[in-house]
This record gives sequence, C-alpha cells and structure tokens, in this order.
Amino acid sequence: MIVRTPPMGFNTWNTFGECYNEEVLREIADAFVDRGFLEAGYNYLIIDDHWVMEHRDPVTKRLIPRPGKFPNGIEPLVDYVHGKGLKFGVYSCVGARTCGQKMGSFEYEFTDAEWFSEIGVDYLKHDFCLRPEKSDGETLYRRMGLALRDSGRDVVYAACNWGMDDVWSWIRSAGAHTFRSTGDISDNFKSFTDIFRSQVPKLGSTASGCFNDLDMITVGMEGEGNVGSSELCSEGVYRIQFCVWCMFGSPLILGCDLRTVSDKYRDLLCNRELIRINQDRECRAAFPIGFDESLVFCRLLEGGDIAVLYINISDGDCDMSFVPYDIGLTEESGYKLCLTDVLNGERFEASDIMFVPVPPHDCRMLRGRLEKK
Amino acid sequence: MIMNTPPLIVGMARTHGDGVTKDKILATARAMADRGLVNAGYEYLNIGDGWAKKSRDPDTKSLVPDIEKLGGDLKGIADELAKSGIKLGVVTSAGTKTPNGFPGSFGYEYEDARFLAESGVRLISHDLGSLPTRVDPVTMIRRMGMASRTASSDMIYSVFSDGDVFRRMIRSTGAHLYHNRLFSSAAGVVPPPPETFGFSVPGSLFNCGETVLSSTTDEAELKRALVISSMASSPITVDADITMLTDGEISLLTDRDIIAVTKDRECRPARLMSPFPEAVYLKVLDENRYAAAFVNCGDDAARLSLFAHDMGLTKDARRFVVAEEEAGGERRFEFSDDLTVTLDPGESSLFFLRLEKMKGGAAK
Repeated sequence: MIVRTPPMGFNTWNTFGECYNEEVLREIADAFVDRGFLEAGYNYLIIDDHWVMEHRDPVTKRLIPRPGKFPNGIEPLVDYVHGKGLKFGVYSCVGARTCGQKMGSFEYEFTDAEWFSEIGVDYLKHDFCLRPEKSDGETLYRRMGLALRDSGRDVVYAACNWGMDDVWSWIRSAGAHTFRSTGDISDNFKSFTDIFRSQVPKLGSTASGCFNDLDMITVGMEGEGNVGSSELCSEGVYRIQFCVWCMFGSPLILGCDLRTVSDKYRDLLCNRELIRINQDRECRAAFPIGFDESLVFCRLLEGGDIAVLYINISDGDCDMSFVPYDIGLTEESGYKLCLTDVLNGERFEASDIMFVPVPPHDCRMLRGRLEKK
Repeated sequence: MIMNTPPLIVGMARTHGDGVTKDKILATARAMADRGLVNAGYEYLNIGDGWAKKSRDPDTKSLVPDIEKLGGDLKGIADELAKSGIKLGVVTSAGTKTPNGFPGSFGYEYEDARFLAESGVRLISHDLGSLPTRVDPVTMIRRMGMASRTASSDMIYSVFSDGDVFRRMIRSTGAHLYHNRLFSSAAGVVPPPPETFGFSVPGSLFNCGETVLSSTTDEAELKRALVISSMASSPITVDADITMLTDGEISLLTDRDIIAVTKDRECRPARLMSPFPEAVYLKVLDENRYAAAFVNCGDDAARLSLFAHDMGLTKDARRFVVAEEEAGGERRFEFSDDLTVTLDPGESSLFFLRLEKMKGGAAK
C-alpha cells in the first residue's frame, strides 16, 4: 500500500480517553458526514487505547473488544463506519500491554494483524508501552509491519514510538506509513509549539509514503476532554497549530469532538486551501527562513507554487519579513514573488523583502508563485 | 515535477570529459536504444559540460552551445535524442565554472535554467565546484532549484552535495537527486551511510554515485554497484562508452530484477541488517514482497546471514520465507530461521523474498 499524501482522520484519544462506546462512535461517524469533515478529506475514524480487554480469548488467542463498550462485538461498528464512506482504524502496542494496560500485540503480531484484516481494519496506530526491556524496538515495529503486509489488507501502519531510537532514520524501511516523532500533545500553546519546533531539523525525512506525525490536533477542544488544559488556546493560537500541521505535511488526525466542535473551528479544520497545502503531491519539506527568532517557513509546492507561513508568537503586532533571496530569488532574475493570504485573500508582492503584518499569537499562511516583473 | 521512483541515467562526463560531440552523443543514444537500455528504462543521457563555449554571449550573457561540436544548437541534440525516447541532461555548476572550466551558473541561474529548458534539457546535474567562499551553498542550491522549477515543469534537478546539513535540507530545495561522491570505478560505489537513508525519500533521492565502467571493470564489481544502488532506491547512473560494453555488462545493466528493485513503487530505503563490510540489506517492496541483498565488501570470503527474526518473523506467525535469487541465479531457499550465503570478496547476491503459510496455516 502506497500512501502518497498525509492521512486525514479523527482519533478518540484527545477528547474521550477511555470514555467512549459504540454509540458515541456512531455519532462521530455521523458527524464526519453531516458536518462536512468527510467532504473536506477526513476519512479515517480511529479508536485509540482501551478498546480491548486485559486478556485474550483463551482458545483463539485473539483480542477481545470490551463488551461494556461494544456489546455486539466490534463488527457492527466497523460496518457502520464503512457504510458512511469512512475507513476504520484501531490501536495496539508493541508491548505485552498497551499504555492503558490492555492487551498488547507483543508476540501476537500475526494473530492480531490477521484478525484486524478479517474485521475490516484500515489503519493501525501502534504504540510503544510495556515492551520487554531487553527487546529491540525497531524489530518490534518491523514485525508488525511484516504482519500487516502479510494480512493481505491495505492498512495504514501508523508507528508511534514517540521519536525514540532515531525513528526517522529507519521507520520508512520497516513499512510504516506514518511515524510519531514526539511525546503526546496537550491542548495548550507550549505543548504543540515544543512539538513542531523539535521537528524542524528532521523535516527532510517526511515524504510521500511515510510521514512525520506531529500528533493528534487539539484545535477546537477549547480546554475540554482528555488532553484538555486550563491554558485555553485563542483562535489565533489554534490557527497557528493547524497551519503548522498543514505546512509541515503532518498527518491531519483530529482530536476534538466532531459532534460539538464549534462551526468556527470546524471551518478552520476544513479549510480547503490549508488542506491543499498539506496534501500537496510533491510532499516537500518546509524550511525555516528569516531571522533567528522569527518563525517564518517556506515550502515548495507542486506546479511551481510556494507557500509561506508567518508565525507571530510575541504579545504584540509584528511586521514580519523575509528576504526572497533566501528562497532563491534574485533581483536580476526578472521575477517577483506574488503571494496571497489563503484565509483572507490579501495579496502581497515583492522581489527584495516581503513584509507581512501578523497579529500577536497568530499566523498568516500565504500561497503564490514567482511571476514576471 | 514529482519524481516518485529513481530515474535510470547514462552519463558521458566521466568517460568523455569535455570531448562530447554530436557524433559521440548520437552514437551513445543509438547504443542505448539498440542494446536494450532504453527498453529497460534508461531515459536520460547526461552529456556533461563540454557542449558549451568557454564564454557566455557578450551581449545576452546566455550560455553558448559549441556549434562545431554539436553540429547545431542544443535543441537539435535534444530533438534527436527524443526520437529514441531519450531525454537530454547536462552538467551545470552553482559556482563560476563547471568541472571542465565552462561557464558556471553563479549569478545566472534564472537565465541558464530558462535557456536549458527552452533547449529541451530535462536533467540538470548541478555541481558545487568553483563556488565563491563567502556564499551560502544551500542558498545557491535553492536558487537553481527555484530557477529550474520556474523554467520547466518536468526538469529533474540533481545536486552534488555533502554533509549532514545538506541531507537535512536538500528535500526543501526542490532537488530530486543528491549525491556526495564521485567514483572513478564501479568498485568505488559503496553503500550510503545508514544516517543517509532516512533522508533518501521519494521525490529527493540519494544517489550512490556514478557507476563508471572502464575496460578494467569486472562484472562482479558492476553487479555489486548495481545491487547497492537498487537497495538504496538510488538512481542507476552509469557512465561508460555504451558502444564498447560487453554483452555481460549490458546484461547486468538491463537486468530486469535489479531494475525492478530500483524502481519499486514503494521506493522505500533498505535497512542494513548486519554490520558493514559483510553487509546484508533488507528492502520492503510493493505487492508484499521483499528484497534481500548480500554484499561482501570485505577482503575475505564470508558467510552472510539474514535472520528471519530480524525481518520480523516469529515462530508464532506460522509462516516461512521463500527466497528466490534474481534472474541469472538459480537458487531457491525456504527458511524460518536464517538465510545464509557464502560470498567471495566483492561478490553480491540479490534475492526476492515472500512469506508463505506453513501447513495448517493460521496464526497460533
């Protein structure tokens, strides 16, 4: 299975933690469709930890969905999700137990992959907890990769080892399609800025086929839910988060409650132009430009287009700038850089220096190309 | 241009230096077609830097094709090659001079990219020699990347660069290929260092280096170079007088299996499964297949093993591995513990692997 552009979907963890059941998930599936998420490109509904029991079936050795959550087994939910035009994802772990101490896949990788295939799983998030201390993490990820491929079903393999063991350097060779590169996100400014700033030096390893996953997006949670925080994010701060995830080519796995997220944040998460940058088929790495402390990123897009993201993390308005020389433009080239704010349509042109006013704790995403002077 | 699998390239620069002529170029193109390279997937012919005059046009500052050598302009050469299904490549430089002293593109990137695109060039191999000391090389790579993207939507931009900074940044510059060494022979092609693999990804691939063939090249050296390239998802870049190659060399260069591994659609990098120099590589392929390469880069005969455990196989899986040697080899193995081969120094073997269920089939 070749995954050409970053997967898009929803994962239960951020909002629900352990507290979800079949009824809730059916409502989430409904919201995917009714609120426009599916139409915008989000199509994976992924159940995170706590969906299986602490033991295996004594005869088949298979995992057992928790009856309290899934009284009729998992299959009716899978059918419902597929019936909505969505794909279905689950969670497991390289260890003997999951992070929530439910059954893990250690030494049952083929058993589990075979069962996942039978019930119609399309995506596996594979976590890193409670493995034997003396085991080799890379081999455990390679093992589930082998088992999933052997299952005969197209399954997105989302490795989640939190960036350990220089994961970026080998995970593509293990058959994974995405890889988590950091610890877990919380719904606050420091958490997600720490995450994306830590990945700037490694953006060159994310590309078509295997993408650096910055973790589930918290946009729209507004302090509620399992990873909610008392430090509420402003609209501008949420805009920064989503624009960075798009600019960096991260998988877009939403964590807010799709049923109740406000229209304002639904519209941000479904913005076609931002998603178009995320899903650009060249999948090139963004790179930092501008002066030391400013956060300006550029990315080359297909068809000769260019995206530029200005992030103002200060407390005041800021005329942010970069010199197009730094992205390869020269004064005598005969070209100027023409960019348009993808959110409000404001147009900018420059060949020597590009100033863009950015409000405090906010960002602006621009897209354009070189045009003849 | 989106490049999801590595291209196959014939180069002339290392073999012909600056002595390329229309006759030599067309003879090479004919040989590529007649000897099966074009059918095998080689689609680029890089003629190096000797096609140009030593000075720019004094008025327009454009590069000037050497009409005496080319028998016309560069576009005429590109058009001739196109008749055989071959795309034209040239060597350029980010500095003031190309490797053989022709005008470099420093300060003329946009003019040169436009001229080359209009001349039908579809591969730019950009050297970093003769670069002024006080300029930032990554910025210069960006500049030619931006210029070539602006000039053409189907230009492969290949960069000669080295070091960790380049590896990390190269993908963002618009480059499709990057390499960090030139070799004088096929024997010089060595596996890229493990830290390189994570930054060799679809769209911007590490180039193991030119496989330069000469009369002293033996077939074991050539096979080893090609096997290494294929496992690294590196482009195959062969620099040789194609008209003079032996049938055995042509057979290796057009080997269907080596090219299948090279151009596999998943374009994943291999993983080094045993320590260099007795190297064993494993690569995930499309269609639930795997390739395993055994390469003895040491000085003594050696036994090299791929362990099923390290591939990810467990006893509980109730699967075994079937390994079939690439065309030309006849060996077939089934194993659930290890696959071990003995190789002389310089030898290499390539196997295709797949899993099969043991009798009784299902996992435990």
